[in-house]
Amino acid sequence: MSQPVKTSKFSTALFSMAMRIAYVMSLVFCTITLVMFILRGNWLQTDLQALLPEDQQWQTIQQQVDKQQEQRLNGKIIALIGASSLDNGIQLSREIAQRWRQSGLFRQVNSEFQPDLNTLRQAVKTLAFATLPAHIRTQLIQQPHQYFQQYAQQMSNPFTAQSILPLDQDWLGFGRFTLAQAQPQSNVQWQSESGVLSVNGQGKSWILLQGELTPQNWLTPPLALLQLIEQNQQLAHSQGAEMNITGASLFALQAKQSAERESQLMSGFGVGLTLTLLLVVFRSLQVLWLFLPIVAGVLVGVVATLAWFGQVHILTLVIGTSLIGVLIDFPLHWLSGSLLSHRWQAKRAMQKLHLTFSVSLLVTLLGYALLGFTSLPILQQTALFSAAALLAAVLFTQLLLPDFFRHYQNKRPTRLLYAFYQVRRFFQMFLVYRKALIGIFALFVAGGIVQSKWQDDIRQWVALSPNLVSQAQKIGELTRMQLSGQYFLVLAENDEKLLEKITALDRQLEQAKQQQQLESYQSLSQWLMSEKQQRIFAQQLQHLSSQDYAPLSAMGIPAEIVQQQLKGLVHQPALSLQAALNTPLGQGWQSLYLGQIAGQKAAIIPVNKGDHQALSQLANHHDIFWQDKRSHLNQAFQQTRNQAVWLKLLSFVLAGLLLLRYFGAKASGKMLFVPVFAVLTTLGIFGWLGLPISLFAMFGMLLVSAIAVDYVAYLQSVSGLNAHKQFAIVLAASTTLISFGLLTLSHTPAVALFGLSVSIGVICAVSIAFMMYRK
Amino acid sequence: MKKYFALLLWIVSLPLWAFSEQDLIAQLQQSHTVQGDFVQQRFLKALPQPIETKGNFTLVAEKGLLWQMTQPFHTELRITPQGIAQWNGQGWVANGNMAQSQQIRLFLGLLSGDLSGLKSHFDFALSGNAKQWTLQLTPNSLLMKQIFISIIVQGNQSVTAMQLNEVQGDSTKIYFQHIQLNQPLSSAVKQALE
Repeated sequence: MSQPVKTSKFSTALFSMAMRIAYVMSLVFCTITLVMFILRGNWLQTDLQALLPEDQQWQTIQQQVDKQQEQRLNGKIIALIGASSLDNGIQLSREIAQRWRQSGLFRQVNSEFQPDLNTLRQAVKTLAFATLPAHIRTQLIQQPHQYFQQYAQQMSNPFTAQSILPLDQDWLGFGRFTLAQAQPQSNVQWQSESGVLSVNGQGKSWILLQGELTPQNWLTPPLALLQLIEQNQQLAHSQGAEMNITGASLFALQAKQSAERESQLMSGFGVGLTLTLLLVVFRSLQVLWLFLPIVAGVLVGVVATLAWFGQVHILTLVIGTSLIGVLIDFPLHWLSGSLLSHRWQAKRAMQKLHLTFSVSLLVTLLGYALLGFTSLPILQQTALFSAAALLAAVLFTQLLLPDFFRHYQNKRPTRLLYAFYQVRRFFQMFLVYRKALIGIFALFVAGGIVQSKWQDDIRQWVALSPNLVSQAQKIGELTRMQLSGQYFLVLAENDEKLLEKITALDRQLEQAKQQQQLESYQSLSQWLMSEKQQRIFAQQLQHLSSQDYAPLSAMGIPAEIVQQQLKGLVHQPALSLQAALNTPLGQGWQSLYLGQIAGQKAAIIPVNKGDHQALSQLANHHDIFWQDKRSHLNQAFQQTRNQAVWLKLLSFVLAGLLLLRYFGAKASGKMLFVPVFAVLTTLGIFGWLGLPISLFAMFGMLLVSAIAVDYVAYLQSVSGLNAHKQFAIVLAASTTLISFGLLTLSHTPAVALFGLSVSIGVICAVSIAFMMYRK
Repeated sequence: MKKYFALLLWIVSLPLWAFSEQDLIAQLQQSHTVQGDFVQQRFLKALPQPIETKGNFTLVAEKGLLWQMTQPFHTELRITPQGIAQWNGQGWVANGNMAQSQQIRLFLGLLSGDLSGLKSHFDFALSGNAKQWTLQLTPNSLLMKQIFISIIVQGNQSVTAMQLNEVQGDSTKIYFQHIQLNQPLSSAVKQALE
């Protein structure tokens, strides 16, 4: 009779033993894998690319060009060195450029551009006619006399730099404008005497220094770069000068550093505070064992992420470590039983909790699994990391933890419990007016949700150091160089057609500029006429009469010579875009010409401070594209967030079905009410606080609903005094609040909002759960 | 013999300590204002006749230079360390080209005796005495070498002539005549330069 029972007991024991051995083996396997990944190196991902949603709208060519542009900008470092005098600035910039070159971090450093004058003259001769500035062309057609008058004045003026070309090579004076046109429209000027690029402003002379990092330093620049820059800035400071510096790599490096610092600080603080709390409550050093499931969880989480994605992102680690507070909930639920009953036994208590754990785990895993469907790599990573960590932590708790507490001596925390009862009684007084309270509360939440702003901005994703931002802004203000990522992409079958299209678009942009829809832009047509334009313009100049160029005759230049020159313009071959770009003076413009892409010729028109709405109207998505990375990304974020919202709703439905199976209709309805209401309340509070509901805030709410289900499942399925259960939940919530409260201090706005949404959500979940379950 | 040798040395070195660069700078900087007429001739390889312009000028120490051309047409220029501006009938229009800063410094430096800024581009050779001196500037910086062969400045209490010889074969001669030193300025000039 007793035989089968024995065998079943024996087989269960055997089965659990096998399970435990398998689990420990897999932990060992994970550890070895992790060590192998770390030895292989390059396991930590720090670049910001992973934070961006996968593209769902741009055409291939748009993406291709976008990548190219990023590549071009990624390695660029731009410094602006400001000193009281130009000479001091030049001295200092030479010294700094020297240090850059010696550092070995740069592929090239451009500080001075000292061309040979003869080469320069040749280039000016080639370009003089074809690159005449538009306002000069207009003047020549409309007020030719004025043009020649000014030319004669300049010729007689001993103080202005005489044209680089001697008079007999430039009778018409076209060569006077060519050098100034060599820099795309910006305030930066090339100083021919020293060869530096400089700009005057804010009472200082600024020298421009440009460097390009070696490709391996683009996305993950070494610390040496930061040290180098710090030294440079100290050097500048010691000479009473100032150095502003900017570059995509610097932002990446800074973001990486702050994320690393934060993850260390937060996990350190989180563990420290949690441990202190546990020691106060349990008054036994044995609580240290409770951290074992967390260690196992984080280990498995990292390995799973590495195995799936090849790398783990630093932000995943930051958020992952905050899960400590959630992971410890399971062992806490179990161990807090020991505080309340003298006859607590580790193994038996664990068996009782089996159902609770299974439900919570399933609901939470479901939430994470759905999150994996969003098109955002970082969210997919976080979801996988969290799911794997949770699974590993729960398994550890169930399989191994009781063995550590076999001889655990529980101490009843009388004073603490008493205090808790007092607080609880105080709050219960309010429950008399429950209906009124709920009414007011519902109004409050509704009012908040109405006000809530649903928006995402890529800028929230990165902890932008104010110092770096202000330097970049200053460089932008002084140089007017385009550092924003907005541009038009223009395609055509050949260069000539390309230039004609750009010229047409240029007119529209000029109008947009007058309507303040953009601050400035740079187009190849600002520099060079198309061949057709050149021919037309040469024809138009044939109408000039000897009266028009009388000022030159007054200076002693024979009219025949001028006439001859004008005639010659018709006969000279037009200058092609390629030929113009290949001159030494075309170098500055080459970045606007992309050459052959997908069987077409392509060029870009960078725009500064353009109005996305207005300018996107000028694109036709066929051969003219408007590329505004930030707006585009924010749109993609919005889509991803909307996706997440739907997935969240779906997760509620699925969780409802799951709970229905375990607890029946009435109970599961009540159980679902808590997470739904906790999320709504959090939304409402965010609305009142004027905080944006971003993707990560949404992610926070998802976590909140999982935590809420966990609490409710515990309240619903564990037998025991309500007060005792509530005490256990307050304890679990405290650890969660510790780690997510720390996240709110993060410098990365997205992470801080995530922490805040979870913190608020957990408080809401606990209060609502206590109101619903009062028996 | 030794005595004679010392005497010889003293005679040879006389012009050196008689009129040094420092003396020249001090002498030029004594005049707070310099006013007069100018004739400028630009000799261009391409033209048989030089381009000639005439007018009057006012130099005010630390303030700048007013250059009023009257022939072949009227132009008024104001040259200050901040840059060049032209009078357009209503006001001064800045000629916003920074590349001229070197040219301006060269000119103001030569006229007002502020030679320190020119040292980085030219070697100086001074001859003559306080009443009649000649300063020859030979470019030593790469860029100036590409533009000028030499610049010759002559003067007494103030600069009286300047000749700029360019590498391309062009040259400019400027003569300063009817010079008045430290005379009161007309109100128009004051307004332009103060």
